Amino acid sequence: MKQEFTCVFLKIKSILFVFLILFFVLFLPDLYAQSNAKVQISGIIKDASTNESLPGVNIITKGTSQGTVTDSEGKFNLAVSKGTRLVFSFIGYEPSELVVSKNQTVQVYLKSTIASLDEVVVIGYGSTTKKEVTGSIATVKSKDFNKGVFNDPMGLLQGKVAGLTIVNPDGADPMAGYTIILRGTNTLTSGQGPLIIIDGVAGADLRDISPEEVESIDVLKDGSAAAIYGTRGSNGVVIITTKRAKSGHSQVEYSGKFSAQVDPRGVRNLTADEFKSAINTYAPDKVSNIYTGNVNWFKEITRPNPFSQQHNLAISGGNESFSHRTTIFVNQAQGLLLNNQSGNVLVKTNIVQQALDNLLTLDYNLSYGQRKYNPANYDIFHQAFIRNPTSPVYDPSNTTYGGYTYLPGADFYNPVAMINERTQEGKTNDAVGNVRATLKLSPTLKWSNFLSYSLSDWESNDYMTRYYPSQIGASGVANIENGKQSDLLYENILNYSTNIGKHTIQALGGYSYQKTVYNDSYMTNSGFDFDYYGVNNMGAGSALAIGTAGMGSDKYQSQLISFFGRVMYNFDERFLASVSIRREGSSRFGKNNKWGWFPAASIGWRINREEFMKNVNWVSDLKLRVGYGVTGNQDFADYQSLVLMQRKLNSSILYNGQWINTYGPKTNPNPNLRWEKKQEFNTGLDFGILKGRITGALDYYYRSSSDLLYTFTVSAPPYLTDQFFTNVGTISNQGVELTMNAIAVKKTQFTWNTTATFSKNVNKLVKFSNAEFTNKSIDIGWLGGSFPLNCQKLSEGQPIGTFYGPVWLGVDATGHDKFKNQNPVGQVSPDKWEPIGNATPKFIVGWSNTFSYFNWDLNFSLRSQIGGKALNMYRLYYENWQSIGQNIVYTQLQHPEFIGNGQYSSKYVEDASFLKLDNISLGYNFKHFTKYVSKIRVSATAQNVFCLTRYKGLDPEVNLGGLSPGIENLSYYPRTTVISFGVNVSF
Amino acid sequence: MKNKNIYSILFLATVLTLGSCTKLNETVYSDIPLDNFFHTEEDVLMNAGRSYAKLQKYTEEFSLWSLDELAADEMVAPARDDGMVWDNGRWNDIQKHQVNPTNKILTLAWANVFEGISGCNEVIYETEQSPITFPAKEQVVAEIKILRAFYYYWAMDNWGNIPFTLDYTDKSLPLQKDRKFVFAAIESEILANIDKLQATPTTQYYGRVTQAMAYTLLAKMYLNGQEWIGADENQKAVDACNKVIALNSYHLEDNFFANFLVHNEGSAENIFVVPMQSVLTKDHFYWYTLTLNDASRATFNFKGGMWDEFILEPGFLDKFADNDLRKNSFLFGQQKDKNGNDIIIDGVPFIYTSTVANYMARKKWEGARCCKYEYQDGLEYYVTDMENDFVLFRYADVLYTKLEALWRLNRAGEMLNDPDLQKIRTRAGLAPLTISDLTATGFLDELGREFAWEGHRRQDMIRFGVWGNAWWNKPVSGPGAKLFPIPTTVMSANTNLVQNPPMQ
Repeated sequence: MKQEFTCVFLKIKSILFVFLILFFVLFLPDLYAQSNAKVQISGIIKDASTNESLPGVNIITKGTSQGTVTDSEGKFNLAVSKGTRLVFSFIGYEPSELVVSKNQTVQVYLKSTIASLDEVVVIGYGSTTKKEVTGSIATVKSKDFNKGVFNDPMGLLQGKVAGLTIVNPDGADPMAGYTIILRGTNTLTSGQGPLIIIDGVAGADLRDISPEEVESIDVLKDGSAAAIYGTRGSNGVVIITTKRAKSGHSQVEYSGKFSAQVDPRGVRNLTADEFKSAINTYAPDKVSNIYTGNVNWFKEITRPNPFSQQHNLAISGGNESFSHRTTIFVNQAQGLLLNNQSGNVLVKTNIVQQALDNLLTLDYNLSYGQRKYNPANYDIFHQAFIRNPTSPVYDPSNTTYGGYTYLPGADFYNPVAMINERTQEGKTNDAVGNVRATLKLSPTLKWSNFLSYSLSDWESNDYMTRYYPSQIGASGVANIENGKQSDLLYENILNYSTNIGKHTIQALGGYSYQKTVYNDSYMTNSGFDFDYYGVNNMGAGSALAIGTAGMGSDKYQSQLISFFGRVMYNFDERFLASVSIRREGSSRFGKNNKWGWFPAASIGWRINREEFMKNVNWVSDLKLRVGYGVTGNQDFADYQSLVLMQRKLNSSILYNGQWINTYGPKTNPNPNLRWEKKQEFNTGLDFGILKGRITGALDYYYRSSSDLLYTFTVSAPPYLTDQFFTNVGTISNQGVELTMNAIAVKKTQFTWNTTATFSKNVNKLVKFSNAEFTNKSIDIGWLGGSFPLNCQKLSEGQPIGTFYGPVWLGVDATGHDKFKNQNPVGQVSPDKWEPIGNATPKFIVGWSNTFSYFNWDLNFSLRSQIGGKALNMYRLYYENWQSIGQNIVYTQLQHPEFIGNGQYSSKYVEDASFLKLDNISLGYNFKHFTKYVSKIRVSATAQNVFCLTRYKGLDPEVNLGGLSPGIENLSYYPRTTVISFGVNVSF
Repeated sequence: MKNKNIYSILFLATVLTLGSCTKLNETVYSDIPLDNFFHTEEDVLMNAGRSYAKLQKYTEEFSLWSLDELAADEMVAPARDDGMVWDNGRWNDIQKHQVNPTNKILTLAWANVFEGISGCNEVIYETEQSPITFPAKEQVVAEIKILRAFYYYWAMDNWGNIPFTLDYTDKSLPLQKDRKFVFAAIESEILANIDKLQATPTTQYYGRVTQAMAYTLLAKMYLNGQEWIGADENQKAVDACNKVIALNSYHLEDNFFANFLVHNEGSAENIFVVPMQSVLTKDHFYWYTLTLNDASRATFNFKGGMWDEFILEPGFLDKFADNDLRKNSFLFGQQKDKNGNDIIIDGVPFIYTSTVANYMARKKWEGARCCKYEYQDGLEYYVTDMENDFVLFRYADVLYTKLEALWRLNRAGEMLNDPDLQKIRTRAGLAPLTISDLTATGFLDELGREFAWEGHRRQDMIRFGVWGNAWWNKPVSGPGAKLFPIPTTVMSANTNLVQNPPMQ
């Protein structure tokens, strides 16, 4: 309750704050009268990349329509009042501004906006321009990001990059992250996400940056681009660049977003009336389950309209030798589940300092973030689903259970009690500090040293009162957990670049060392006399004295060391080549295989620069790229190759009249444990036609990962334990990706830009056996619970995510399921199961549009996955009359003649194709400006607007990561539609 | 300029290569690397103790005990009327002798046994290899070898044709052997090691393999000789039982329930037990959670929710005469709380009935529950579980085994006057056995009454040839039902194995 009140208070404060700003900005008249003194300004306007002069450029005084146009030579001459702000604008170019303070002659360079070939693309350890890139790299700039509110920056990219699938399987949980898969699943172990690099720090946490501060995201998709990251590059590399310090006059930018979630829905079950009539009509022997209440359990556990707000304030400025950008980010988000929320504050500064007459550049980044949150227990949504809607929430006579109703059953709890009788809190502190010192040894040689240290510590507390349903009798259970992780990174890089006539060479060589140390501890106690303490008097629990309290601690560390180098060659802007190599060692591998080599090579041919293409005017850009690279994967637990003895839990034995602990081996030793190796071949065509009105890229790739890491079930004996973590198998992914941008309409006051992405990936587990492990197929996708069976197989020659099961033929006249190949008791033995669908979509399509009309702009993004299937677990468990007594799915009422029990089959493996409108946003840019305010924009955005699908469950976008994708979870967190209002002001 | 570049590069390259760190050692903090282990006698024992610890899994919800008991006629887990305990039919399948090779209880029961075997193989190897010597070393190795034989006896009983290996260093997949082979192998292993074991039971040897345990094991194997290997070994069974009797260290308790008390370590009848301790071995022995309904918490002051799954199979309670004290192993009738008052739930007296009307919708009060092992006050699942030591072999078993072996040799009269044998019946408040009681049905029923829920029933029913009969909610089953299928995960991991014929 206290938290709710504080939230409301904060809501009011922030709304007032916003109004205050708007007031100040809109209604305050100019304080400074324009001076009457006139000054003369003249000059020439040129294209920034081609250096050609630009005739017909508009020059107007900002806020007015007075101005002129450049002449045929691109020159102009004006007399204006001192202090006037001039705006230079021209179709196809980004506008530029200039404040006139004295008589002067200027040269103004305008940057082309039409698929700017000079756009900076970040590659590993450096950057290049779009026209020179030879690998398959996608760049998304901040203007093209998704609009709306996101838990972390990956939401900005959803649907924007062909081949990059970003899924949020946990809906509206404010703490949930995204599952990211690039070009299919390349590995069988847990490390399937790409390497995230934020401002040069590899493996940084996405939640430590404000989505407002992201300038651009570059995705290194293919092997030739990612190989320079060696053992971490196999799933691609996502490089996030935040807004940097900028010299020039001080700028203050504020952005605020206020959002509310609307119309939340859970999985559709029966209302109390439907429940009563269903039992009376179809399951009369269950009438003892009808009570007197009428409860909508989903509403009892959720907030009707969770509210959240984000504020970002950035100040930047400085001069040539010292500039900074400092930001403060405040975020507060309520989750859909009651008592679930998260708030964080992030303070960050980037300082760039020049010294030694501009030979030495120092780039500092310091950031500190603190997050406070109350996490969600997803099982509560499941409990709310199955709970009898006629059973009231409270039962004052039931004092044993704290006045909540109690219904018997294993794992069957009152969800309102689960929320009210438990307090969970967490706090994390993250501090990152790094400095990059770049010394210009000569005009061609630069030496940079980068040192980064990040320290994260967290605490999480959990107190369940004496009435928490699963702990009745324990008299309160308290749990405190603490942990810390530190990460040290040191890089030493030499950069050499030179031009000799038509030849341009860029080379780099470097060394990198990274060490991570992690430790955590916990303590737990129960038997408290008073719930009043919560977790704050651990010693007071009586379980401690009788020996049933618990505590533990853990510590791990790992290192990663590498040497790398790259040479990039450019001949006459027509032929491009790039070669890189990385030699990397990781402490995680077996002692025989700690080091590995990761080479890569790619070439490019800019066909439009050839003589024979000189007269083909409708082609503005045509580049053919071919690349090959080798990367690795070491994202698994530490110490897997060693033999370690661990204490066995709850396994003391009585020896010589004394109880002693027993110890046993933790894992089977594997000194030959080595990195997975992914080889990738990529070829692509970048094109631009009709003067860049239509641009795009088409890529074809083939990647093969061998020596896949997997934990096999082995025969023990002869092994020590029945799990063996080793390298075996090969997996391949091949596909095509197409990205197209078009400036469909470009008039003076109306423009329409559209971008479409299309990708198709075919995954195949090529080999999954060797001399020792000859089983070509393994059953995975264990459902557990009431369905102790595996629903998928990993088989040689098949893609990952293939469902196997009985083929359902319908319901027979007696109301039971009919299956193909069923035995006399109506079941199908596992050896007769067939492939019944694959979880991976066949095609993934994204389509974004931006319209601008005068000062208005409209954005919307659609996303579609076609052809995947998902196992609807709620229907499998609850679409039958056996389960009633608990609540069941609504879909059972649509075919009540089915009286059999739930049996796993293709009946529940549904088509999960969908079309979603991810976001639609309307914005307005104000044109009333004062000397202080240079930009004001307000916007309204709706996210998760609609989903068209045939899937009968809550949301077809089920988890696609892991070895058994496409299986819905009984414990889930729903996705909601979010409406938000935003305001951006720049001073 | 060029020179400057070259020199700079060379200088930096040298500095960097010499100064850079390339150490990739792993420092382990929270487990013990092997080089730091096996330094003292304690280390060797803590490692060896692992084999014994595997016995603790026997009493769990998914275990060999529950698999055997559910397949027999003394325990059943029907689906409840509130939709619970159906679990897609996995309990029902066991009841009907239609166990699927992917059944979870089957898979865990197998793991129960075979993790014990591989643990023994490994521990024997490591203990023999370890340079540490101490006086008890040879005895400890002998104990583990016979413990391994015990696990193989379990495997042979339930699955018949099993992967067999005694050699830890052999890395190839074990070959499948039939009962004849395994029987002979473990018989010779036991006979070779039995003399190294402790003869007289002392507190030091409580819960460990002793001579009495080894002879009892042999006796039970021989008793099943006809069924398992087609050879009449009944005389050898009698001889093995006599060896136990000759030790003169065990005798029957006056009170039947003394063997199953919370503190039953003082029982003079228990030969081989799995010692339990409330906290140190929690999450292994928690029958109260499995069998009782929440209403019974008032009787025993338990905390937490009861799972209410396993009940005494309808029909079994009728085997007890009303004056048979052993009938008190089960809770039935009006339940009373700690103060002796009737338990009333929602205005209705709470009575455990011994019948179940609808096997697909059992009401929560239907079914008699087990209380054979004394329930101590205030238990809570996973916090403090049962401390009673679980009995695997006891003296009454030895006596009845000898009697049955003699009966099968038509010489039962030799033993009927034995006062110890008669005590089994008299302490239960019944008249001693006479020759007319010893019909096949009569004898089997008496074994059922004495050893209810102790994990014996299946073996006894198969031996008496009634395993295929129909009983409550179970149709007739064929000879294939005598062996359980080998779990699918095991079949996939070892290509040498051939699946048992289906359990029809």
